[in-house]
Amino acid sequence: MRSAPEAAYIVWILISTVGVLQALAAYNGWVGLSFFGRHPRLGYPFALLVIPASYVWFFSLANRNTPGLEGWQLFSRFALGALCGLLVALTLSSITSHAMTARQRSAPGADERGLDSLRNETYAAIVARLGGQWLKRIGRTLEGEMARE
Amino acid sequence: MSSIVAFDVWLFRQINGFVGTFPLFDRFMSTVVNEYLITVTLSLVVFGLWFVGASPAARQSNQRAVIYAVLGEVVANSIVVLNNALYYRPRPFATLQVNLLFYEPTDSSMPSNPAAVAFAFATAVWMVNRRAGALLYALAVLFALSRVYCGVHYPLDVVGGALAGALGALIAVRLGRTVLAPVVDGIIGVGRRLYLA
Repeated sequence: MRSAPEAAYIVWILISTVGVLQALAAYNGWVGLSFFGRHPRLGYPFALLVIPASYVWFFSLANRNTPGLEGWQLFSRFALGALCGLLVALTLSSITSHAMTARQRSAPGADERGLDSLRNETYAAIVARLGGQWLKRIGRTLEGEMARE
Repeated sequence: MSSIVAFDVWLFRQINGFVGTFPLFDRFMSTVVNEYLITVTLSLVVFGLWFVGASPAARQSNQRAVIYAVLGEVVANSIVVLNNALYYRPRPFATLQVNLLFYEPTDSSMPSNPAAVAFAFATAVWMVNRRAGALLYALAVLFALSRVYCGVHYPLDVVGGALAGALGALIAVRLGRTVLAPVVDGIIGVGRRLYLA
């Protein structure tokens, strides 16, 4: 089991990363990453509220000028917290912006590769679309093999 | 050599001697000095940089900077570890009467590891993105200054740490643009295939 200071550190990183990602969704106009559907710009006030609040929470929990995490521990726990924050942001935005992005999927540029795809669809929709493409490809391969036999 | 050390101790006394003059400033510096506040802020800026760019090409350039920064931190840390194995300098509070606003670390004072980490991040990013790099340099300087102000490092320690960090970043960028270029491209390629780059 993780110690309390370590868990607090990871939660702090998770929350602040979610805040950063909402600000970035607002900046890039990535509706698919935003928690606010049609209004991704609400990500700015959300970030302004959540990021400082997470700092205040972490530093008010305990005196941080004592021996604690250092070096590699800080780096690896940051990576873990940031990854969890990314997963939380992708999952929540996939739920909250699902209806919005479903309408936009037929818009020009909907098939962009990379992060810009989040302008038109949620990450869950991207995963579903990729999964569908893979299933079709596997199906075609199997059909081809059966026809050869 | 001894005159440089004497100047270092004199400068330390001047900076650390300010403690107690402005209690609010002391509070600010003792909040900044720990391993968490500045390092996490630096890391969040670097994390955010992965997702920023006016065009896909600009974003890819920033993503390279993020990879260089992580690699730079590894190289800088290795330099510090190697140095600590060969040389030990006692902390200021071990030999002088200081105004200590932090706990007493036991590792070598020279070079400052926190300064090395902060300057490795800042230098690696600055070589690709000047604006983000300047912001990180400002945070790194504040971090280094706080370590002296709070009595855990001599000025020369943080200068040594900054040089170790900058050297680590320069090596990382050099490696990232030559020998490790396929690895850097591979990481970005995988990210792009996962729609995360």
